[in-house]
Amino acid sequence: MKSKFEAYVEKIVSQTDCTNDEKDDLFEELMVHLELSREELMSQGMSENEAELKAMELFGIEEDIGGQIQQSIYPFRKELILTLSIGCILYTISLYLLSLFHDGNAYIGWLLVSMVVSTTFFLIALNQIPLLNRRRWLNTLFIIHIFTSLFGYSIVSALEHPAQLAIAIANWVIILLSLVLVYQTTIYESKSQKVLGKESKRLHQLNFILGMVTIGFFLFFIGAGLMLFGGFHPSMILTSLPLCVWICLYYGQMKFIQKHKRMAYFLAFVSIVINLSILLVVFYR
Amino acid sequence: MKKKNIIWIVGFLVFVTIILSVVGMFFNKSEDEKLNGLTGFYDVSDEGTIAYVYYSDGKPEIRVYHPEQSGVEKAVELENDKYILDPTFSADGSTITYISTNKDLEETLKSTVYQVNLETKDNQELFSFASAITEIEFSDNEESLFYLMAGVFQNYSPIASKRPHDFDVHEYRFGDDKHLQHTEMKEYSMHSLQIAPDNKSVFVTMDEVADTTPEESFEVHQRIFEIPLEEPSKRMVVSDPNREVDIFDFTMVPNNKEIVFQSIGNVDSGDTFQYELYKYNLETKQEEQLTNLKEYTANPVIRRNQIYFMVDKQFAKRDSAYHLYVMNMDGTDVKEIQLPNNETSE
Repeated sequence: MKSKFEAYVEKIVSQTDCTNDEKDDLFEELMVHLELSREELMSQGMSENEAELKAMELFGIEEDIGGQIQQSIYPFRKELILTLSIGCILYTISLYLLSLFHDGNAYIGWLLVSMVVSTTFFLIALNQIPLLNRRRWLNTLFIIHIFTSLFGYSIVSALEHPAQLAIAIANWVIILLSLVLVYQTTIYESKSQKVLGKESKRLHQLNFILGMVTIGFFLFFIGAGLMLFGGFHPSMILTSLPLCVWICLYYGQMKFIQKHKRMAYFLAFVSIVINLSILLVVFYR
Repeated sequence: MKKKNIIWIVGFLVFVTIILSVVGMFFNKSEDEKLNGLTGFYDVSDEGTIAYVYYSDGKPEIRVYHPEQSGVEKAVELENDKYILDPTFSADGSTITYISTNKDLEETLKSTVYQVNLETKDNQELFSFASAITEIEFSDNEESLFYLMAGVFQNYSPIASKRPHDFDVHEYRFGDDKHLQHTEMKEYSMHSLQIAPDNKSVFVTMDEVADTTPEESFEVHQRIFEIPLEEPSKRMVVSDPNREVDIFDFTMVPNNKEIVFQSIGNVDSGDTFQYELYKYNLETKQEEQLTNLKEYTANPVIRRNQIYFMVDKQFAKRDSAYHLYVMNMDGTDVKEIQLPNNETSE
């Protein structure tokens, strides 16, 4: 059975987005600190039970301590996510109302998705859902948010209203901020941790750029296809092929970078060649 | 931030989202309800009365306005799943004949021609076809009504939207309630139907006969043709046969020696096309530019020795913004006619 200290410290550690090794180190460090505090309190005449409770009380509330540690590991992430959340809520409501009362279009599905994602960001920024404050979950939410904003841009571009330019600018600022957060979440390396080696960081950066080209290509051809065919056409699935290849190659690079660096770099090279081919086809055909 | 405050904020956001969704369900408009304002369809009677098609929340109306009298009258109002096309005054100005089609022609392809008596407001159906009738025109003696009807409504290419094609000229005779098909051309497009005063030929704009190779077919121009009704295969170009820029719309000047037509004024500029009106003399073969508004100038109608026309000030944008203009026959004294679009009486 876990001791009071262990349960308390585990709760603190679970608030952070660290690797398992780092969590173990942090756990040990906090346990030592609490044990020293308990001993000091016992030497002042407290019982063991009283000293444990007092030591935890003096240390602080688990969520607050965990949030502060997380903030010190990833400075500005909280502020950026909070800005993204508030900006996106205002943008979503403005665009929804404008589209509804100017054009008579109620994008209820888009409103719900955008508001749910924005509110989730708000809760993550305030450290209310520690489970989602992880690279994988955060990036998934950012990607959903980027696609939601891109759909929002299709609504903005159909608007013929004096506010169109302002909302379009807000739209792109929100997408840019989301991309910055994806970048930061994926490859951020704090002073206290060396999670990513220089090589994997380099590969992340490379794939970030390649991903933007591939996704841009995919969205462009999906949009063009929808316009030309007036709806979905099976041949449009082909345009997602480069996206699937990029995802597979990216996954492969991350798998091989620790033990088979040559293979990882070879996959990166293949990814670059595919992207350059796409650019050549798009611009010179 | 305190947990209680966070719960309040999240609760407020959920409440706002629910309210916005409910508001959206009430104010969302179907495609049929979205059309609003003036369209390019209008006609002018010999007395100067203007009949124009106007949409209110998607419902098409024919409004009648006489510039010398105050007020505007609603002659016809149809349901919001219909379009009204080509309102045409009778010679004495007592009736308006018009085409009504479904907005969704893909679902139900149907066109009906009605005639409304402006005095009694009696709206009588003349005839109806499960096809796309796009234009009507009275013969000179008003004993018959000519119309353009498309044989099919489809896209000939996967990258084109569905449109009426396979056009031919038809005639409806009021006396014996009979329909005649005059041509069997199945033209890809055919517009601006005009009838010769002797009723022996019609004038339309359409493409020249395409040559065999794809390269040559790209050089085909849209011109004004005269089609003799006795021998429809012998169609003749009446506009300048060497004109490099297409002609899209036209009207015959009552003296039958001149044509006022619409064409592109800036074809080589690379900018959004600007459509202007031109006059072409059939005898001297001289062409003269009448307007220089640098907008989308369209639908010329000649009445009372003046040229009426529409200008779309939002051409190439999603919603059109039509304005009715009038000018002298030589293109001078261009004036906008302010149509009262509110305060209609039944």
